[in-house]
Amino acid sequence: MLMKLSYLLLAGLTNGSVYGLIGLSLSVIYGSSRVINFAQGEFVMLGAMSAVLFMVTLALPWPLAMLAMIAVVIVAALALDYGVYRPLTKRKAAPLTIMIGTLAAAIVVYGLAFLLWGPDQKFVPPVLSLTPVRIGFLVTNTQQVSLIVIFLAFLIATWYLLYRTRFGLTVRATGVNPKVALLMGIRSERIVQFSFIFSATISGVAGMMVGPLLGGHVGMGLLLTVKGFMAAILGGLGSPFAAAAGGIAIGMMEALMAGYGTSLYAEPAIFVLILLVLIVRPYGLLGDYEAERR
Amino acid sequence: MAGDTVPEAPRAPTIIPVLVILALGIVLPFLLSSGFHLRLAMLVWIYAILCMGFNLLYGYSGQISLGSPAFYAIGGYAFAMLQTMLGMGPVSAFVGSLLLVAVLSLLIGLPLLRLRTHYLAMATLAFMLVQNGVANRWINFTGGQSGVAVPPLEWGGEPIGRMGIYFVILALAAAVFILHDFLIRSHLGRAMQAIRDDETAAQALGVKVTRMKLAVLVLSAVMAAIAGVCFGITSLRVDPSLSEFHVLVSLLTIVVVGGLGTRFGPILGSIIVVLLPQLLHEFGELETVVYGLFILLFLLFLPHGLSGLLERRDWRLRRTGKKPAPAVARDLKEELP
Amino acid sequence: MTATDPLLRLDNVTRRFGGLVAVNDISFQIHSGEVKGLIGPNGAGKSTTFDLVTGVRPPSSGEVYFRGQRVTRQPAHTRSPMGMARTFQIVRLFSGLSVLENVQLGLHPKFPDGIVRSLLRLGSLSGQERASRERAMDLLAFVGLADRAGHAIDQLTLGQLRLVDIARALAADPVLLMLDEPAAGLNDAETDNLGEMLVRLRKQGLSMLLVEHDIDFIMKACDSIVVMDHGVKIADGTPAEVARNPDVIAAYFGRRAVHAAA
Ligand SMILES: Nc1ncnc2c1ncn2[C@@H]1O[C@H](COP(=O)(O)OP(=O)(O)O)[C@@H](O)[C@H]1O
Ligand SMILES: [Mg+2]
Repeated sequence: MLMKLSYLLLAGLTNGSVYGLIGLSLSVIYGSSRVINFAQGEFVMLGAMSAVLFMVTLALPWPLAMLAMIAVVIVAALALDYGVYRPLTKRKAAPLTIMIGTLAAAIVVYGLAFLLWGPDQKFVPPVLSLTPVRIGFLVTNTQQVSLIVIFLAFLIATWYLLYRTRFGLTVRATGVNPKVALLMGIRSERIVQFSFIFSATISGVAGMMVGPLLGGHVGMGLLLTVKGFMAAILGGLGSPFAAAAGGIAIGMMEALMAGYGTSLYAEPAIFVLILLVLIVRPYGLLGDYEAERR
Repeated sequence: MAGDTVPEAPRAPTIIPVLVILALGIVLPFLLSSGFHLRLAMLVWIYAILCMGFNLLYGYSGQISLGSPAFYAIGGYAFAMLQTMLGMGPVSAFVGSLLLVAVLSLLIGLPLLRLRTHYLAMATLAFMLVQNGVANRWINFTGGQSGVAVPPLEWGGEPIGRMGIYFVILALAAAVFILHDFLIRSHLGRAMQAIRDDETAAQALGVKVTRMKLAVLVLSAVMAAIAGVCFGITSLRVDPSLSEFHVLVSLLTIVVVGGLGTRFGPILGSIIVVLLPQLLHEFGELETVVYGLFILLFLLFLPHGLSGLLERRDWRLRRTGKKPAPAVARDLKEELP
Repeated sequence: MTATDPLLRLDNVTRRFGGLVAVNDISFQIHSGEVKGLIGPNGAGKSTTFDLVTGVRPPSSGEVYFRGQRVTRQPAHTRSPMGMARTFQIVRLFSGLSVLENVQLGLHPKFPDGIVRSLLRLGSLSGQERASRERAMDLLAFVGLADRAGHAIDQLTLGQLRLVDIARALAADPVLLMLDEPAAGLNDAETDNLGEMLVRLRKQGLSMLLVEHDIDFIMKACDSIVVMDHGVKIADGTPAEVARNPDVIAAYFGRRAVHAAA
């Protein structure tokens, strides 16, 4: 009884960490550029599939593979910046147009990945071990634990960066008003680029870590983008931490509903729940600084 | 241009091009030799119906619902299941499926439309994935992967032939097309564009912004459902592939390539997206990449799509050579205390 | 509404943004036919007051009455049919529509409402559209921009944009016209032109609420003036009274100016 519950909670925490990391990434980009990045889940997919490429196909040791994977997602992030974000902002495109642009980028990335890896589910090699480890009556493995640890580490790193450094101040200022930030001598383009790279790295690492647990396939990105976004709207898109918390909440709910009901109900139920939350608290459970600006 | 006191507005009341296109639609099946070509023609109309709803909602009103494929699928499923499970006739099943989709889209739109538009986009996309998941996995109800059979349309006890089906679809497409055109050319289209450009200003001028957005959302969902029903009566089966990602990709490609917020964009785009893969046989696996690149390139270089090149925009043509006012510098000056 | 009721009445209206009190317990009235000025340094809360009156945002507390009716929490779109029209400090024209269509949008409440109702009155729509186009042309002629009707918004100068905005506000035949810094960014000739236009409107009996920084402009144009500073009303009276008010002088020129004047 208790074992089943704790097992479910652990599974929820693991998936929730991934959703939370994506929610956090989305929120970081949104915070600096007011853009919802539809390609965020593709970074996770690239993380998982790069692990297959570098660790299985090319048989590199994991630290090297991880560096190579980060290089891949950074290249993708730069392509998104130079190929979509900058040219569209330069043409004064509406935020929604830019969002469609990121969706188009997601389609391209998906299409290319499809050419490279095909439609089938791939085994993603674990960085750490998948052998069961007992902690009290909990059965887990180091891969799972490390995912949760990485989630916390990125959370703290983001907090430190945004709220404890001068650089973080400029990031936040850019999000609030890019024009004023520009007058203060802040190059908002740089900030946005940094946020793309930073969040792509987070998502890539999340993908590499969760790949062995979920299995990797080229179509996984879209669903993860949506889950991450649901996390962000549940918690509050305006704050990376609220978004991360929303991710944990969604992971938990999903696991509990799947464990005690069926997974068939889990997704519709969470969707309805989020609609209800939005009716009661339009800016997410933990608020959104955007709400203040209205 | 100085002579005329009342310039012809872009909303000039001429329906003639629409009638010409529909007339072409009527003669088309007599020019096509094979059943395969007729099927492609039907697909063009089906996609055009689907995309006209999306065009009104996103192209004109600036609200984006990525859930269109879900409403498309639900329309098709409801049409089939109301007949097979509740024993309804095709006409009442048609009406029933549209009503169902209208109510669903209203329930989703009410909480979401109050928010910023990307909430609507993401939440409707989530809705699409949820719908697709249910269609795939609730096997007892939806038939899972294999879907639900749609009873063939009959006339006087005999199943209607291909040609008949084509004209049923054409009739529905004509209704949607004429409504689409009426809205665009009326004061409602003007109000929709105003909402797209600046909600607050539109509201200050007496436009009922929230109601209008909701009405267009419901209308576009209903149009998607009509398209779904049309798909059902041509394919005699609806399955989860109606709300898969590639439908959304096609939809976006059609509206962006055809021209967002243009009168004929959805039709032009549908023709291209249906025919292009036929012309380029090597397309195969590359299709997704090509569509993605198409969307990007058009967003960047031809934001009004192919239609924007063709359509006469009276007042756009009146542009003098004068450089536009430096908008950004002006904003900066005024926003600062 | 009785004859003595004011056209617009603000009762202790307050608006907070987080910790900031942008509008603090403001009350004033505008009578029918009156032209009221609203002045104050930048950030005094003038534009926010506009937003509260026009329903763009709700006040945190207090009430707004228009033509004897409480409109405090009525949505913004209800104001235009009641006869209230406004412009925005940062011109907010619809960039996807022509100049003429922008003005026509001011006539929107006169058209049938909603999709179904419009379809039911299909027969009269094209006549109505033509009439609205003529009316919009007249208004463009009134502000001197008849030759720009077919142009796109981004082809106009700032001064012209402000005039289009005013024409659009006038389209709904308002009884109260609210202009937020209509002369900002205009050159002297344009400002004079605007002043003359306002005089003509005033002669037609239109009531107005004017926000403006140009003191000469406001002194000439207004029957009475409300002065705000840091969200608070510091003076309310005729131009001559306000000009003598030491608080106003202090707000505009600093304390030392008051001592110097005293
Ligand atoms: N949307 C908003 N969110 C937060 N503060 C605001 C907002 N709008 C205005 N303010 C603040 O309210 C105060 C009054 O602003 P405003 O009404 O625009 O002044 P004015 O028009 O007199 O220059 C200013 O301090 C301004 O920064
Ligand atoms: Mg102001």
